[in-house]
Amino acid sequence: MNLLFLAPQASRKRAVAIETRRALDDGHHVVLVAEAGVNREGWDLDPRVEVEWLQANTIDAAEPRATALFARKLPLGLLRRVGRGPLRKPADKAARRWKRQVTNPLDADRRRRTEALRERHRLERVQARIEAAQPDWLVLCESAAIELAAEFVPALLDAHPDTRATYAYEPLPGGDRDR
Amino acid sequence: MSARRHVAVVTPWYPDAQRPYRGSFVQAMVEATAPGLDSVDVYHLDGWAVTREPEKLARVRDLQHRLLPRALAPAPAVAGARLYRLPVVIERSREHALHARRHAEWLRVALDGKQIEADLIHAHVPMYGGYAALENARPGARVYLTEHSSFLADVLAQEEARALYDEILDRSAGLFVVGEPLHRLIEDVFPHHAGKLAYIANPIDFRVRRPEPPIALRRWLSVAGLIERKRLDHLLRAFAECRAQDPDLRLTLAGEGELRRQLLALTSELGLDDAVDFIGAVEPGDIPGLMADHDLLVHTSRHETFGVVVVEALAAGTPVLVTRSGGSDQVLEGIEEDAGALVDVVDDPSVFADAYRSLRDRYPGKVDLDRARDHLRAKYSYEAVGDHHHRIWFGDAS
Repeated sequence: MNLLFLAPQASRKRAVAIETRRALDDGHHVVLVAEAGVNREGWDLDPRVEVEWLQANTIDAAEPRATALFARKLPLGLLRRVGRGPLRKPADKAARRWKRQVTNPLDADRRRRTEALRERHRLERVQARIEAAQPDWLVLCESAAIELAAEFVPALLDAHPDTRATYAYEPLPGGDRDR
Repeated sequence: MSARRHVAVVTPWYPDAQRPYRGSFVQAMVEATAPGLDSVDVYHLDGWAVTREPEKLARVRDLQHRLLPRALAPAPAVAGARLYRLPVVIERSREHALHARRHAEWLRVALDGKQIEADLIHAHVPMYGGYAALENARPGARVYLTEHSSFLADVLAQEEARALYDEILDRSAGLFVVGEPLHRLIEDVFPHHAGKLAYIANPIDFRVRRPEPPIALRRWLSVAGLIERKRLDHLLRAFAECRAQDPDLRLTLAGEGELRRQLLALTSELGLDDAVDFIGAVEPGDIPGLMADHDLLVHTSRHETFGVVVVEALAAGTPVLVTRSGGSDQVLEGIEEDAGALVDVVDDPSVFADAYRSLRDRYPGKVDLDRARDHLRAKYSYEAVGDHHHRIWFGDAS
């Protein structure tokens, strides 16, 4: 069969490595769509696995220069500069307040935008890969795979009701002896 | 064969490809109890945390409703059991009662409107496996529980979870614990359920034993997660103190965890790079051989619900030097001197080092590993634990 393993957070690398190898040994064609992770540490993949690294974690939402300058560098730099000697405590207090009220909400907004960009990137890449690979078995290896799959698998199953979707590659024989 | 010997096991922990050692005691329990049963079904409910964002969560839940009944297929497991694995998607939350409800809900979805077939269910971790079993059992089915959780105090500190736990105990046929600390905790919080509470052991493999006892206690072994509760920094400092007097000492650390980097750094700082070996996680099946390859099991944990590794070491014929962490004290009750030595949980590594020197000086003359091993085999071997379960379930041994 034509298997596609989906691991967009790569949180179960060991399981993916074992299950993809087992699927290959059983004669299946295996594609893995996964986040690479830092230096691709921890992956012990069979070289026969066809891998598409998502690299979504390299994507960051940009911040306008004016925001960076007027909301971060200038006010915090100024407070650092004046916060010497007897003004140190009040300047520190003002800086903490500024961070709480201005920069922290900006950071949260940026994180949200970054995650939205990454999510869109993952979804586009996965959908393109599914279009190309036409898998007849989807393996949703981790919770993030279910989250991502929620965006496209219902439509996929409507179009291809015979597509198998499981959470692990566990054919018979499988179970716990070989794991 | 009679249908009354069909047993289902419901558990949140069971070895899988990602964590081959997690819940290995449940797998061992299945293997120990299967002889004499007609069939065993194991339901492994694996908690997977997902988003709390309402719209996305709704889509995830819709997909799970569609996929779970399709995905649930039995795989052959140990001793002829059938293994059903299902991910339990739970919105990120620290509320144990919510986790319990999700375990029950997704098992119901996976069963697709049916109930667990067996009339006898043994569930592990009452809050998760137990509640899921009770909510999906047939009318009249008996549900027994075993509690292993090291985080039970946190569970019972939550009001809603405590009330649910009370209900779970009320509806169960019996609750078993693997060690005295859990027994005390549950008895304190639910004195009205004290009559349902009893001990049960995790089965330990006694088949592999070293041919000869260790000659000298130089090759130390720790089998423990690299986490704070295990106090491996304390062990490294005690080891360094002992090694200063005996450069031939070696220490193997089996296990993984969040403190790996810090412990590696401490190893270097103490000048122990040549003497300490971090070998990572070990497959449960490799533990007896690993025990037999070392001279002494060392364990510095602050708190344990049961002393599995202590029994495993003695089963392999390896003496132990372990802290009084709750579970270990109970396991070694009556055989402390024969098995090795127990050390109080104190912050001074010298106390552990002193205990080692004292044990080394009286070893092997004043240690009786055979007696310790026989004592433990009568309580913890697969046969003993299997018979114990069968007496509870059916009133006779297998």
